[in-house]
This record gives sequence, C-alpha cells and structure tokens, in this order.
Amino acid sequence: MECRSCIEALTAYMDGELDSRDSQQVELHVSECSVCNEEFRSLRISYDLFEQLGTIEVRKDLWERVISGAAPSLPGAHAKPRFQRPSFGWLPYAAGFAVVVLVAVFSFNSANPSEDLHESFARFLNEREALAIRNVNLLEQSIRSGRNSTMYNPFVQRIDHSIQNPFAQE
Amino acid sequence: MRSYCVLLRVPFVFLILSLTPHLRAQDSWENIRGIAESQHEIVMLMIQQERFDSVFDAARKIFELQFPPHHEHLLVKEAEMLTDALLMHDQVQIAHQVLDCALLNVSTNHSKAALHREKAYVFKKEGKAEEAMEHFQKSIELEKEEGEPGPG
Repeated sequence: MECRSCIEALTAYMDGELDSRDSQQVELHVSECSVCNEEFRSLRISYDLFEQLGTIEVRKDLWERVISGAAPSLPGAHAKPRFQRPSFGWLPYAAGFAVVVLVAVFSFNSANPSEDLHESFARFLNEREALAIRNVNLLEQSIRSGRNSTMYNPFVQRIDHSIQNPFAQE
Repeated sequence: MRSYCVLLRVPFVFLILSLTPHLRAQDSWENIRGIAESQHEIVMLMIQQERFDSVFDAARKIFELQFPPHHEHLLVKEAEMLTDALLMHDQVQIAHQVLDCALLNVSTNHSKAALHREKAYVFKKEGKAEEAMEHFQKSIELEKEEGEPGPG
C-alpha cells in the first residue's frame, strides 16, 4: 500500500468502515511507515478531542427552529438530532469512589505480616477485579462512542493543554 | 590569537559530544513510544471488531519493541489492558499468549512479577486454581529477588 492511499483510508479505518482486507493493509502500512504512523496518531488525537467535548444543553425548540429556518420543506424537519454523546451521570464518580475505597481497605489490611499466601492471593484478586472493572468500563465507553480513546492507551504522552491554553480556567 | 579561539571552542565541542547520546536515546524512545501507541489502537480495534486471529501478531509487535527497563511498566500496563479486553470476549488463550510474549520481552524482576500475577489472574478466571497459585508464588519470589515489597 502506498502512503497516499493509506492516508486517504485512515478515516474510514478509524470509523470501522473498511473490510478486513483493507483494514489489514492499513494496519501493516501504519506499523511500518513512520509518516503514516504519525498521521494515524494525529487523527486519533483529533477524534479523541471531539469525544471530550461536553454536551451542550439547548432549548427544546432550537432544533426545530434551525431545521425550519434552513430548509422548511425538508422531509423529517421535525426529527430529533441523532448524534448525542451518551451521558453517564454520576456512575463514573461512583465507580471511582468504589475503587478508592477498595484500595484504601486493601492497603489498610496489608499491614498485617502474618497472613499467608492464600490471603495475599485473595487480596490481589480483589484488587485486580477492581482494576478489571475500571478497564472494562473504559473499554465499553469507547465501544459505545464508536471510537478508540486515549483514556486507556498507556503509551499516550499526556500533555496538559491547560498550560498552553490562555482561556483555560485556573 | 588563533590558539585562543580553538581553546574557546573546546567546551562547546565537549558539551555537544556529551549531549548527543542522550538526545539520540530520547529520540529513539519517542520513536518506540509512538509505534507502541499506534499499535495499541490497532490491537484494540481488532478486539472490538472480534478479529481475534490477528490480535496476537499485532500485540507481539508492541512487546518486541525493546522498551528500556525504566519504561517497562508501560508494557505491564498494556498487558493488563489487553488481558481485560480479551477476557471480556472470553479469549483466554490469546490472553495467555500475550502474557507469555510480554514475559519474554521484559527484563526486570518487578515487571516479570507483575506479569506472573496477571497469569495467575487469568488462570483463576479459568478456574485453574493450582496453576494460578503457582504463578502467584513465582511473582512473590521474583519480588523478593528484586528486594522490593511484593503484593503480600
């Protein structure tokens, strides 16, 4: 595959629109070509930035006004907007709190030196289960949004955008 | 006068020569990290699309990137992520393959211990308590060799 074809196919690849043969060609090329690799990473970062944008609450009548103003005769002008970010409400906070509580409880218990191997293993399994729940939540979240996410990519270089952004709230 | 100028240049030449290997190493690490980052996304897409026959070969590329020892914790983290993603789809054998490959490509006892704990976790999930305990015990031994506190 040539770089040009690969770069043209990247968006479709990220959206899961390519068949398995084309996907394999893109994957092979991206893993071998540093230019396309860089392009792939940039594209994914852009996707993630879009995902991180919050939902803006609009008045109920706004969509109808926009549609009727733009194309009064458009079929389905009164349809509701199709694409909305799912809102998870308080669930992520509750999950985070549960993980913190579990870690705190297990850290407190680790002070006992007399526990045997089986107890250590049981404690490890509990900790690992908590981590698995967190990881699976992140994975499911990304599947629901239809895209991959830097949230669980351990190799992503974390950049604090607030330092560079003059409009960031301090 | 000319010899004076030459003498003035010596510290700069020395500075450049001493910084070059460091900059080259940093550049090399950036390259490795970048490839791993993209490869991770590819593996995750494969898992999401349930193309499990390609997952191991793609994942292996990450673990064979020759990470420097002080960055090996990222490989351990990756192994954990992949294990969870694969177990989510009941792909226990591929999870074992990935962990075995990771074990072959890490150098520190600390990383090896963490990966043995992962193996123990997967075996436990399979209901193989004996194998699980063997790997957990191995992880404790490795942590002791490293001289660092283990999980227990």
